[in-house]
Amino acid sequence: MLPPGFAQRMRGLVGTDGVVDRPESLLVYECDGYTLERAAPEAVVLPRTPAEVAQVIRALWKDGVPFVPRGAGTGLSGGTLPVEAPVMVCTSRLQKIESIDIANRRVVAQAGVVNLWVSRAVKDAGLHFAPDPSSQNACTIGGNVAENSGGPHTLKYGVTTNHVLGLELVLPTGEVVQLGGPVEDRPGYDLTGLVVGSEGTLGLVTRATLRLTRVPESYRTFLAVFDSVADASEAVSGIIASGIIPAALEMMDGLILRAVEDAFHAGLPVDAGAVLLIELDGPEAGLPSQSEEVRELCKAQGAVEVRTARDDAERTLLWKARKRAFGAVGRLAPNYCTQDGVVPRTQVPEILRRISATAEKHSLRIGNVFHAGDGNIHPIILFDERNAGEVERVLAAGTEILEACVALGGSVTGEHGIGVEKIAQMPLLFSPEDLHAMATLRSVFDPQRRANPHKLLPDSKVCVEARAPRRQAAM
Amino acid sequence: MADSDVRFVEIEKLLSCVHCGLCLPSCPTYLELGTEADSPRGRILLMRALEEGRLRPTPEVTRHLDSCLGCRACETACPSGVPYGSLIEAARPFVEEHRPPVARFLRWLLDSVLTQPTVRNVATAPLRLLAGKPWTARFARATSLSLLGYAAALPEWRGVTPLPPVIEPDRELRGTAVLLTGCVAHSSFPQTTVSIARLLARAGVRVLIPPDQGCCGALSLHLGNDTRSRDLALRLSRHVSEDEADWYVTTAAGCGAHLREYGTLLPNDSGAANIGAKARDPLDLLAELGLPAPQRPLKAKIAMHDPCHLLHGQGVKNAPRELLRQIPGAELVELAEAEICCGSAGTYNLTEPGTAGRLLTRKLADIRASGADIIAAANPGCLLQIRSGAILQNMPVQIAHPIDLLARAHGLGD
Amino acid sequence: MSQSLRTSPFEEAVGAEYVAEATAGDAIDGVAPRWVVEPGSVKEVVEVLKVAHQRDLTVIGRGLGRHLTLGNPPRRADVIVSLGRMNRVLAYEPADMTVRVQAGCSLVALGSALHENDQWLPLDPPRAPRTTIGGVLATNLAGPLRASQGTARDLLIGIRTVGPDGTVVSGGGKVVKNVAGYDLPKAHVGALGTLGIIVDATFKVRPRPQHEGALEISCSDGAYAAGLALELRDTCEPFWLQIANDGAPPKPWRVIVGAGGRHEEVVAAVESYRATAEARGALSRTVPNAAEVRRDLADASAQLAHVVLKAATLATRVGAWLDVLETAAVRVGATPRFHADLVCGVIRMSIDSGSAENLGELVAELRPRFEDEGGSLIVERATSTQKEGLSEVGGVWGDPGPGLSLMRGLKEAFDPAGRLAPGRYVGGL
Repeated sequence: MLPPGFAQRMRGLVGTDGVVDRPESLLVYECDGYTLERAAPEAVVLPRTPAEVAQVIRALWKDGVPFVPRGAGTGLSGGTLPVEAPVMVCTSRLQKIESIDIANRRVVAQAGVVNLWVSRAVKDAGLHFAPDPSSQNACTIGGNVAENSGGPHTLKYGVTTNHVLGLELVLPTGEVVQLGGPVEDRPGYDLTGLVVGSEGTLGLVTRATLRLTRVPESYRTFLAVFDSVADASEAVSGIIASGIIPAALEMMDGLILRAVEDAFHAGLPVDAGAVLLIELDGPEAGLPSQSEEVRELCKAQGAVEVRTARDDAERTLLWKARKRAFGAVGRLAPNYCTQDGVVPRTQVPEILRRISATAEKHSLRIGNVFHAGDGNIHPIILFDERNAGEVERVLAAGTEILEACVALGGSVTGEHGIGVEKIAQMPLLFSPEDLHAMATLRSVFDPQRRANPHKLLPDSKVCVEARAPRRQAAM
Repeated sequence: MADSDVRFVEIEKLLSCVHCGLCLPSCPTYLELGTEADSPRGRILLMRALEEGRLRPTPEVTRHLDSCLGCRACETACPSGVPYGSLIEAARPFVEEHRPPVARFLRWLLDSVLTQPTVRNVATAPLRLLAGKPWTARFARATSLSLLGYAAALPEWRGVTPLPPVIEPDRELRGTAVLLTGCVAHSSFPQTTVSIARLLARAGVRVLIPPDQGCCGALSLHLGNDTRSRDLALRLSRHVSEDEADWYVTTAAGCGAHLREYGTLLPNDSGAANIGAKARDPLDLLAELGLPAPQRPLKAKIAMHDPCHLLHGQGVKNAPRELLRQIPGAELVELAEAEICCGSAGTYNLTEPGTAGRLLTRKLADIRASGADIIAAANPGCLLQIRSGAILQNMPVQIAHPIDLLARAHGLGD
Repeated sequence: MSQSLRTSPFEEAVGAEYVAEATAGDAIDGVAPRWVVEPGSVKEVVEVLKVAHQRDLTVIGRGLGRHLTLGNPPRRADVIVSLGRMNRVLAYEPADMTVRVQAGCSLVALGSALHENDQWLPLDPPRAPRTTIGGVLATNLAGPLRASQGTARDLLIGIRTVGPDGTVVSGGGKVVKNVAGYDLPKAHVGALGTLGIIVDATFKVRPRPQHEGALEISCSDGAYAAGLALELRDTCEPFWLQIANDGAPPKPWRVIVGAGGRHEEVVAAVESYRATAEARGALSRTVPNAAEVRRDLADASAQLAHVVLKAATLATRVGAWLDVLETAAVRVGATPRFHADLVCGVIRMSIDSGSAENLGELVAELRPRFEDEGGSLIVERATSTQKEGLSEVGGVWGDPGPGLSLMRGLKEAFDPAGRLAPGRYVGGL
């Protein structure tokens, strides 16, 4: 329960239209991109400036009210699900790109700025913000920082943390701290690096200083068609072993191919077992010989066909098909659950084998579209939440797949984060001492667990339970 | 599924949304307000709760559905192919029933005035006196009255030039088009109708212009009056459906997008199906057929604003740009957020003036940043909205229908 | 435990032959430790730290000891934990492009293992041949390669550390992409072992470039060199990009830009740099052995002098700062030499030890000016006597910025008794 007069006090800070507290309008905040569990907050506060965020959080601190931060709500691990945190602080109105320094390749963007807006703003200078999650049309910089987002091009360019130089963090007390900044090598612990990927549990990030990267001079984008995912996986290993680092190396299996082709008519081979979307980039001079090598390597691993995107339009279409693959799957079933696991690159064929065994065991359809070059798999489990028992089977299958990833030396998440979804799997990856160290780190920033409580780290209450009873799963 | 189980739309259609959120920044109201309930994903969730009976259409719920411009930009952004436009249109009549009587009456009145020629002409007569006069613009600026801004944005009233029922092509016949003059469009911008008829003829099109056409029904549907909308559509299709027509064209993108839905709107009417299948944006058609090179130069920087119902409703983006680029001296410059709604959206600027105003301010800022001399917008609603804003802010920018720009370049305008 | 302090409390932990009384050469900034302990396994490191914990002894980790000059003098140094015996490559799967290696393994040893598969870990601190994995992580030192390859923080994917009470903590993992839990490895990079003793680490490795090339351009002054370098940066992404002024008087400035990759890529890049230089009317010459020059540049600052100041700024400000730095150095009677990275905005100024008596004065004058612009000025190398002169001006580090109270919190949380390299880090941590 919120303290009396709460909404009115908040309206005093953020304006009358900056607080949502009617149940009908709160309903829409019951989940983000992860829809298996739902809970609506008691109030949503929408500050307009970083300074207002600090005022709001200071007020929450005084009232003793925990909060959940939320950007665009495109997260896939339930990071914005309110769990014992009645107030949601939403950064969607912090839309300003505050400064652009082309010569030094720096941008300062507020948390609610959409990932793609940054690249769009510096396009004419031949620069871009390298992390490009599939949701980059919608996801925000604040969300990218919270989740340490990746994307197809991280194989060569790294993830969000490699491109964030500084942050403005509002601590749960409302105190504002500037960490890092446009100049590199500030002495002291890498607090910026610790906050990136902390899923909003260390405070709320309001501004980020980002490093910009030059747009490559040239691209070569290939679509290599294979009869089976096994052949495609071998080709991935072959390319990596040759010493070529493609800008992206993505795989889609047959099921996904058909859904994507249905949606985008990109001319994908719907009868193929798997395709690889391979992109090389860099100075033009190096591309012809690398392209030839990649084509040969694919052919050697049994590629039926290797197509080259002829122009920018074709390249864009291929990428659109890939990046929107998740959504296209919506055409196959009313619900889907995207898993996110990582295995060492060499274990990709093995994990795919285990995924298909899991699908069979639970009578589920599972498609695969993923970052093969990183070993970052994204099995998509199709289901209909209205069918009795199907949600449970989906959850069981997801857990099995993640356990397999860990058994093969990998991780339970490569880019979606732990959120609420994977708390139960954390002990598979980390010892009690490791988890204790993480809890210690958290206590430095947020000793009272006011910022996004019950996320990322298993607390004593949920450590062993697969599902916390207070979290209501959508059935 | 039995019809009786459905409140206003089949639940399957609503379930095709997988809640990914990729539509959010494409939605003008979400961009401005930042509230999930004013986003496509949020509204779909509300509609689902309404359909499932978990929610009642309280004023709060209705407010969020009303805030939707119906621009369908979210459909372009949606990877799952959610038919958002048809969902919101199905929901509008449902919430209309639950509105307080006074609000319902006012909306009914607006609908009646706009869609009945005689009533409209009487009601808008005072506007004609004010239309396009320089002193109207000054007065509008002095008073900051948006209604005066709209009056000043209208072309000076010189009466409606009657068009002959048939215009023969200037060159070898390429096909036959029925020109739907549109109700508000034709009475506000009669010259544009003349321009397109002449341009089509120049491109080898035989143009048929049936008299006394009436309204296509788009505005009624937007105001949640689906019965009236269907009646109007039926009337129009009976009146204008021609076997010999290859295309049905209109200068109003809003009407054009609506015509394409005729087949689904009136599933049992062959005339409507005929119109739905052959509806075509005239600029898109001109770009396909090709025009001789325009002779008259236009030394100006032109930026395109993409009307929602042209870009998202009909998928037309490049055609007007290609045509304008052919004008000697014209330089096309980029307009940031060209695809974001200007706030006009049918009657939205009348029913939701607050949000419409914010979107207009945003659009004007983008226009200022573009450095364009002329903004080309292929929809009368957008023309009025943007032009009124430019007048109120005293911006030295011209807002024109690309058809009029083209007609002038081809020596066909006035 | 019955051993007397004379025989060393650590014999039981690591065996008598791996405990030694410290000698004068083991002193860190003049602070003499009592023992040097050489554990051979993580288990032994744990035992050593447990003993230190029980006896309230302070611990400083050491690899080959080449970078102990970085940091403030320790408040106390009871035990040096030397990781020299823990020098193995634990797991290397070339096709995964990851390697897990013990902290005491030298960069050279690791490099040769990777070399067999045409891969490398592109970290090039000064004195790389005598630097261990633990050393490069704890100091976060980097050379010219960081311009394109990043620093240790960008390549590290997993870490194992032993805390002050002997608790083993792992962070990250062994896959190249992983966002499970907090990014604990980041906390230890550049932390000088103040949060835990690093025992092993996992890195992503990269393919070695097949070829390297470089172009050198002589310039009359630093500002010109910096401006030209930025133009080169915008011509074609450089593999590395340095400007230097390190020869004998009249000491011409040089811009040296490196290219790496396939033969044709390198040729094209070098040609494009040449064209940019020529357009400015500058004379350029191709450097015959690019990789060697790159390594020399990495070592240069460490070899030339006993005092190295490292300034960090925005790339576009480097030119202006060079002038300020030089003027200030000359005023205190020093002859400065410069090496600067024009991609990262890092300037190293080396001065002869003899003329560094007024180091405190120099730092006092320059540091606030960098910090006011959001940059920093640290003393990367200096003798203990010289460091004493810095105590009044913020020590070797200067102001770590508004994050200091969180940093203090972090240190207190992970090392509550302050027994890991106390006093060595920022803010006296």
